[in-house]
Amino acid sequence: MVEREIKASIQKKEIKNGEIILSVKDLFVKNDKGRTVVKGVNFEVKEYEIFGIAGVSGNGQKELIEALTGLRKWEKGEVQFFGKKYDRFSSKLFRRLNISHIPEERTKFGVVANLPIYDNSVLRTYDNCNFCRGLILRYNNIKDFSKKIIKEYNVMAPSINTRIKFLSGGNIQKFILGREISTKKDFIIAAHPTYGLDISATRDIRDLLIKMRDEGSGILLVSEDLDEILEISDRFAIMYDGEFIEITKPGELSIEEIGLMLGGLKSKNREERLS
Amino acid sequence: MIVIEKRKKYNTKQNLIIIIISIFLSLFISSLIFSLRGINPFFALYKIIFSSFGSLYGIKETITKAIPLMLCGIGLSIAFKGKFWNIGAEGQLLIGAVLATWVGLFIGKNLPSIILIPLMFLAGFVGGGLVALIPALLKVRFNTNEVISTLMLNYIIEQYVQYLVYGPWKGKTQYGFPYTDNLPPNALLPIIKGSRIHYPTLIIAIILSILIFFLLFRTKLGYEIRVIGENPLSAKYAGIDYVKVILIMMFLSGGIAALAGVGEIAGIHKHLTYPSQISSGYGFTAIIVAWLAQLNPLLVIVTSLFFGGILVGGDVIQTSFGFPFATINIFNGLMLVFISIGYFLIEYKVSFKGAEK
Repeated sequence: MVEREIKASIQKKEIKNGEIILSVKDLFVKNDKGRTVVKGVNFEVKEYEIFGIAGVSGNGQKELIEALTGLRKWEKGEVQFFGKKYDRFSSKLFRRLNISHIPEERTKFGVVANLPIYDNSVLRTYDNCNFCRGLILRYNNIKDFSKKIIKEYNVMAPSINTRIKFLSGGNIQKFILGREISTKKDFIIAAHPTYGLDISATRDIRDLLIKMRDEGSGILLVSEDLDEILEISDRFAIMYDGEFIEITKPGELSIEEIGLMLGGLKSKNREERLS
Repeated sequence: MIVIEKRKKYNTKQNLIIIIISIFLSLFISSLIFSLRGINPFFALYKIIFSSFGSLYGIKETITKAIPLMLCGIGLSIAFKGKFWNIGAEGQLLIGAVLATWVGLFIGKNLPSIILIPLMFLAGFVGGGLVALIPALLKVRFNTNEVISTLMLNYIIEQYVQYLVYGPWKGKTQYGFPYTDNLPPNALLPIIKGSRIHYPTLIIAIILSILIFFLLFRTKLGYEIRVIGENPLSAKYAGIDYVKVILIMMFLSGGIAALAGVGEIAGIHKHLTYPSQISSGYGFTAIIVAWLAQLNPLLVIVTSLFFGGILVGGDVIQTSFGFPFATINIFNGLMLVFISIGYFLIEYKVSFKGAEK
């Protein structure tokens, strides 16, 4: 019941047509063991759009995201961000783009547990001219910035000097999201952003993503939570065994059909419709 | 049942208490060793402390010994901050000594002091840095365990120094001793009258401790070092260039440790001699110096003075009680063990609970 009530609290604006921000063509990516786990994926994400990728974990989502964020090389294929084509990508190059990245495992990648909140607030932006002059970090600005994040995104923390490991998962996630979207707005890559969070933190984060979309950001959302995909995405792909089985809109397919596709079965109806 | 859990919060006061308790426990265990030899431990401890801090002569000697410890400790703090376990400060110090001798004795012996001495320090710094790059490169290229590579490099460098002083560099004026010739006067560091304190090195050490503190906590490079040290995965996520940072960090670490060797040669020994004479394990003692200072270069000044005092005290218990010098290594070892336990207890809470049914 609680969930219903909370769900009703957001209303997405009408879809606006925006420019293409990310376009991926025929992308192949290998996993750590050298097996190709992303097999020729094609999609585009525009401004004012949340593009979801639904799928059971282990079907190549992780490798796809790692390739798009510079953490992993891709085998072949083409990636374009903001109309610029990239053949390969480093995480350093990725950092310079105006793209937020909310990583899969927040305490493993997203923050440095033993450093204070203010150090964590510039993890991917510490060489912005706002935060460093030459080789020297401008800690006054950094501390102001982290105070701003905590205030604006409702992060419950005793002070900015607290080591981030003492915060709860939801607060860490709100902090990461706040940190990312307050400096890099154009595009957001979010992997399992609400995984393991309580209802209210989940709500806050979904609302934030929708707000960013309404303001013009493009969002690539990977989630195992089908409800999340159906609730906030505008279009979504169903990923199985490294391929997009289907790209559809919420409401077009029944839950049963989606469920079958997540298990690798193509919808019969669709085949019929196409023929 | 013993339950170990991460502490939810901790404060500096508790932190300090744990450190003090670890020092006292190591003192207590060392007293047992004195007691076993039939010496009143309080008297022995009094001797150690009085001889190093209780007289003007003692204080001068303490400072003299603290200089190399300080430089090595600062160098190690940088590497340890990045969780790179540099156990090679001893070898890096020796390379500094070799290069100082090389520049002072062969390359620039006719240069005026004002040029020659900075040149010796520079050569030592670069040499130590390059030597430290070897394990760093092995680490980033082949993921070699740096504890082993840095430790083993010490022995290679020790043997190299032995080779130099017994072989090609053996001095003609040293009556057959395995020493190089003495450095010319223009290559020697000035000392404070009536002591062995070569103050230029001391000044360099103190300036460096401030600079490195600033580097670690206020600059981009320091930030990158700390992120890599605490969480290499988020460093990758943050787009930090792991290879570049590790290499720069180890170059600095080894270079600063090597300055200690330059100071020892140009300030105290005046010639290159056996490795164990140049450094009585400063590079290893500096590991404890750095940890006791919680890897804070400013605190290294304090902890290096403390351990300088312990080393002086070690000399004294040798002469007054006929103890072997190794006794002081036992003390240092105990100190490291207890400090490590102390750090563990700062991070984790250990409690005893009855077995649950």
